Amino acid sequence: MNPDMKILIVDDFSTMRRIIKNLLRDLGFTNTSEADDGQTALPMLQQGNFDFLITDWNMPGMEGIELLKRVRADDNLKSMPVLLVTAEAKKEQIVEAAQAGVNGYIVKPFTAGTLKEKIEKIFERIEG
Amino acid sequence: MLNDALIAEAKALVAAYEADDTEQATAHYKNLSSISEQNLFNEIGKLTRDLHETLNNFHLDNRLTSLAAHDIPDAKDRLEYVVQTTADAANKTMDAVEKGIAIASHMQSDSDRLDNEWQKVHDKSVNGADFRTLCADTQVHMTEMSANSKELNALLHEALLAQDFQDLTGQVINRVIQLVQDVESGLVETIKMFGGSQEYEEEVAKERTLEEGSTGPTIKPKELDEVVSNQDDVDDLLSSLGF
Repeated sequence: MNPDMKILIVDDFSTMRRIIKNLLRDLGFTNTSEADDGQTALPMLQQGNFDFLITDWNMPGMEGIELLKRVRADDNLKSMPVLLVTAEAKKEQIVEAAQAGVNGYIVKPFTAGTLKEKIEKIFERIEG
Repeated sequence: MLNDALIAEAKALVAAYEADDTEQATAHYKNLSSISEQNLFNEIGKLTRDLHETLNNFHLDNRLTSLAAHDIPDAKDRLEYVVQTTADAANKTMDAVEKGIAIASHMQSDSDRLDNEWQKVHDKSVNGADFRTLCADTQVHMTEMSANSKELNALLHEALLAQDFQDLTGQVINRVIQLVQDVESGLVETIKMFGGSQEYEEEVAKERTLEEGSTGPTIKPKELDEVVSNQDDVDDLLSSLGF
């Protein structure tokens, strides 16, 4: 895992973005940017050389699941690892996210340990 | 029953006329009209009850109207206040915590550096001048430690005080819960008034289902089959899908 990798945090609640940003900093990742929904995030991803996307599901504008599908449909972005961090807990939603090609799924409320574990697992798979 | 009595009296009246018994016929005629009067009084009684109920329901309609016109918009304001207050509290807490984290990590790196230098003293690999610098640095560090601890203490108290929102938002939310209960009972009464009791009972008996699409946090996940309860459930489901 590259500690300098560029991470985009997408959540409509600024407090949640701030929590994730702080947890990432504690894990050694300081190169983070923020967006408040999929519509804002997508152009940032298309222009910004991001390495990793952490997104909420339920947001106004464009939801996280739609953002994930757009990322997978974009030739330049399709291999980007995506972690969903969401309060959405319906089984059909988790299945939908898996089918859309999500790399990890964290259900809120979550712990620092869970975030660390899922990020490590995602990059172990990619690098291994 | 009244009808039976009417028919009996009418038949007796006809029979009395046929038998040319005027006295009997008059008696039956009087009976007949008194039964009709009783019928009329019963009808008026029923109408009065209906009128009373309609007036009561009209009162209920007024309550619903006032809920829709005042209490529900007021509840929206109250809930927006909760969103704002909790966001402010979260930000205040995080302000304090972020400052605290910076202070703690500064103290940690300073302590580690000095500890390292003192280890060299024990290993006797420090000359007199460096030793004097180390002593001075250590004293500066102690002074800083005291000031930093004081600041950390203040920050922790700030974070503590930021939790006072719970009392305020708790009160506001309890009032909104009361409103929701009022609206619920008003709606149930209205449904019953318009003869929908059976459909209502059937709907209550049905298992709760979630709406389509994103639904936000699940409040009682254990009551719902289609919802996971925690991260372990998510991990199990994903691994069953070959993740």
